[in-house]
Amino acid sequence: MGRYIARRLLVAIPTLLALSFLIFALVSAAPGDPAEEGARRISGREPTDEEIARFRDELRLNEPFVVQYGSWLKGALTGDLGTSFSSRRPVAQIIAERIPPTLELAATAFTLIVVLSLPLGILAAVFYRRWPDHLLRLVALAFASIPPFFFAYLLIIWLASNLRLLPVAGRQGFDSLIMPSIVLAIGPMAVISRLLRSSLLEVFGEDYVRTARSKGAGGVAVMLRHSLRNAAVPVVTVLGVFVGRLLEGVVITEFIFAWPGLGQLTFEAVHQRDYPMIQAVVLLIGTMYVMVNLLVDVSYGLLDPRIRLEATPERV
Amino acid sequence: MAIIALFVLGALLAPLIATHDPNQTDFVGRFLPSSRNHPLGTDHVGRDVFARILHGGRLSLGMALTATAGITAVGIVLGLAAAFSGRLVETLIMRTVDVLLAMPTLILALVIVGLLGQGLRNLIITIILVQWPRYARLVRGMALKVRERDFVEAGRAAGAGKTRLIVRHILPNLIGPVVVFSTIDMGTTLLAVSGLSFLGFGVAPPTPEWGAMLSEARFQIDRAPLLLVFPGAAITLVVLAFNLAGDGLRDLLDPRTRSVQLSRRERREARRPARPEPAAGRKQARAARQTA
Repeated sequence: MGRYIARRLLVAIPTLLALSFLIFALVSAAPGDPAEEGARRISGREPTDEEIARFRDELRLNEPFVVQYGSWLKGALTGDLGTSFSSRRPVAQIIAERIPPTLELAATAFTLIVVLSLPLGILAAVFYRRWPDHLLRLVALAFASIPPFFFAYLLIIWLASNLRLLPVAGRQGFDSLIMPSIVLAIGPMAVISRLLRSSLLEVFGEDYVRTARSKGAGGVAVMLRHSLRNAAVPVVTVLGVFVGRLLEGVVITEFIFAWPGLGQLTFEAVHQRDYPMIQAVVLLIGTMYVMVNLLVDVSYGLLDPRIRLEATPERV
Repeated sequence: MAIIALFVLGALLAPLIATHDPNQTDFVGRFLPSSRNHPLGTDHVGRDVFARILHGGRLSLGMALTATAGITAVGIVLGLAAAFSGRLVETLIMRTVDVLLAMPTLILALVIVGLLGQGLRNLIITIILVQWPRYARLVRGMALKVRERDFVEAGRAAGAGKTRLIVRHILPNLIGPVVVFSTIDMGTTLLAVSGLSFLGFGVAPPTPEWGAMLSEARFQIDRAPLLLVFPGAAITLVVLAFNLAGDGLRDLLDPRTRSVQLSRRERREARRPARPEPAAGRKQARAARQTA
């Protein structure tokens, strides 16, 4: 097991490095001069050539590209991600402030996804080809097709404007958490409940289920105990992809609901061309994504011993 | 059936049957309800909503189509290159794919398009840049499998050159799954295009585009919530149509699911207990008579 994890880590690290290089290169290659942008921001007016040159020195833009990358990376690893162009505060500090709200949102959405998909998927599988199954198929299809930014406004119109039940935007207490979480959750929920359903159906046809039933294990509950664990495997692997989707969805959702989290930060940074911030945030999100996928791989190995054993070389 | 839905929508939205200039403002007739002159009413600056939806459709769909075509093309070329070129090229391409796939695509797209600047072309380029890795990986995987099959061996034995082999023999086998993939992906691309436009990257106002229209409409949410609904519903319906079409295509092309897809008649007969064939009865009776 340890070897499996080690191998996965070994692959992840160069990927992360390459990713950081890509991000750095991307931002550096962008049209426009970061020194000029930054200088303009600081002084609040058109900067003089001297100011630009001075800022350029400060940002070390005159050094060769690889050296720049090296110093940035070193800074990143030690926690110094530079100073934001827009707000003149250390980037790391701003990011740290924005993480908790996003985590709140993501955690709530994730809980919603699991809590909703599980019963729906199970119901659809158990009532195969009857109306709950068809209903789920329709609902899932609808929720998978609707753009989240549209759905968000539909919810807002319905719940906030018309019924005045929930606050429209902003992060103020539990009420304001509800709508954004729902918006984040519907897409993944649609896909995961369908996946659970088909996975369960596959498992139902397997021999060991038939054995259990022939041994007298009747009743839905007992069937589920045998089937769910195996059916969960493909679902868990997909969850890693969905964390990625959640990270994406967060950008739009936080934008719409004025939720002060990482997503909104990303948008603002790009919008305002705050280069240090862009680099830092994208690096962070990329790292989180890679980490999560790593976790998913590991859990996959835990759940299905065959994967684990395949990874280790045969012992004679 | 599902595919028909897609075509109907596509046909409806492509031609410009609007009678009004979608960008012509009319400050007198703002927020008009639906009427014969303006089937969907007017928006907050008096433009005809119906015209804007139609023109927006051309733009949104056009971008989604172009982007998808680009992605597929690049993905196929690079995927095949990875499968059939030397080790170095393959490693280069596939490592790039891995790294690009290590980021959530929307974030990457956001950064790229934000750095490139606003504009239709930049948006399409961004989406192509961000999405091609998935196709490349798919194509390479399939190409590698197909390469092992008999007819490829036969072709090679017959002396076919490498390029000829690829184009004539391997490519046609890939087309099927790739088409299914890209059909479903068109929906995703449309969502990406309109999403990015919604956030403000992409077409510049006042060009009509569904995502941008949604963005403009959100400020009118109190006075005219319908302005939000029309573009949003348009996007939803088209994405839905693409998803259905893709599903339908997949069921058509995949022989495994085909066997499960019973026709309506077969389903009906499965439910009704089968009547014994009259011929069998006659045969049995004749046989019985003969032995007697």
